[in-house]
Amino acid sequence: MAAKEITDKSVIVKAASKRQRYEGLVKEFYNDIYRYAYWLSKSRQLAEDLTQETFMRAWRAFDSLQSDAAAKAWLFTILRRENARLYEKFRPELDDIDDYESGLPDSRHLEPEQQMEVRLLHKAMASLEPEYREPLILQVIGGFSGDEIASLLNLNNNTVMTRLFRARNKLKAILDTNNPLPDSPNDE
Amino acid sequence: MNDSPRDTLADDLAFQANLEHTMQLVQAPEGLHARLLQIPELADTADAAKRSAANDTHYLRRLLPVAAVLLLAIGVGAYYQPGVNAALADDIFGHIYIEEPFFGDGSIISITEVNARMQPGMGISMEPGNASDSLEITFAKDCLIAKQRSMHLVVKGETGPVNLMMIPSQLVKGEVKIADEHYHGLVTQASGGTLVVVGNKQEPIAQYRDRMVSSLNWEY
Repeated sequence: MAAKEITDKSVIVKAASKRQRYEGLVKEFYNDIYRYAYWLSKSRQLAEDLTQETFMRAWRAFDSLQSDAAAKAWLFTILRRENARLYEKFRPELDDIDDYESGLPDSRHLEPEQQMEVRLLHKAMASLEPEYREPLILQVIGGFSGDEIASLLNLNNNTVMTRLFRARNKLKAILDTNNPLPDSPNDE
Repeated sequence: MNDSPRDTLADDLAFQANLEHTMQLVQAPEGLHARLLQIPELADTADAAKRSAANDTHYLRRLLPVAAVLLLAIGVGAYYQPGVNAALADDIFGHIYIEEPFFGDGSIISITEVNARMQPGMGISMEPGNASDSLEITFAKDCLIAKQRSMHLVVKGETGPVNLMMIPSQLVKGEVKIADEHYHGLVTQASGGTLVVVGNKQEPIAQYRDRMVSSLNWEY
């Protein structure tokens, strides 16, 4: 009987600990995960759903997370796979103006100048090819190193570094040609 | 124009800093954090319901030969597509459990507002008229259902909220019935997609399917 009580308590403690760990991960990473989803999918509605789906899958597979130090890369990988699954079945293209507007992030909390910066970057990022956009987002939003991005994308480090270099140059060119960001440098 | 390597490096660093700053300006929407914290309960509830449904399926499997004869005899339109439907039903019910706490305060949303969200991205619209005007829509959100951008509406039912989902691809043939321990639903093939109607077990859901079928236009 005593052994059963100890077992029950250990189960409860384990469940509480799992829940606390999950809540800790949500608090620490949900904004980054949402941003990654947003810049990857180019749509705030899809980003919201992808974020929810990512944390749903994370909770269900929580026992497979060996170390909290690996949590960030783990969450980014789940989201990336979810996004890929979505695009295998359905490829929403945010081309027309209504769709483009609905894809923009909620920017009510931003100053008008900041809103403009985000809108311009949204448009520029949308025209960047996925092979360049994705490593750049992982670097900027995730703060991952070249090696980590290489591991996440199953590429070698040199390819990642080349794509990052080209991604920045292409983005600069797009922004300079169309709508330069305020204070952005002109390397032409 | 900057030519020296030092200026180029400075420009690159400034661009990177500006890029990081702008990309970080995007903030998760209000309420998302609270929704993510509810996921453990919702997932565990949905998993328990799934296990319960699986047990029911196991029990029903023994009755399948009898049921097949009965279906043939009475020519029921709704038929069983186990491979497709288990995952689809799981997705539909899971989605409802996630969204349920956010169904709103009961304020009515107009068909014009619904069409403004649904038509551009999905090519689906509701035609105003007797059938659709009688629906009191209290929730409208474009969501990922069955991995597709779809429309999720909630209307006031006779016994509780009724979920209506419009998915812009045909996932079933004819009509399929789905159920878990709380809800029952109909997944219906439409001309350009799939219509899902889900309500609690007491809700007469077929009437909502009929009203939606007669008022929906599928462009693709």
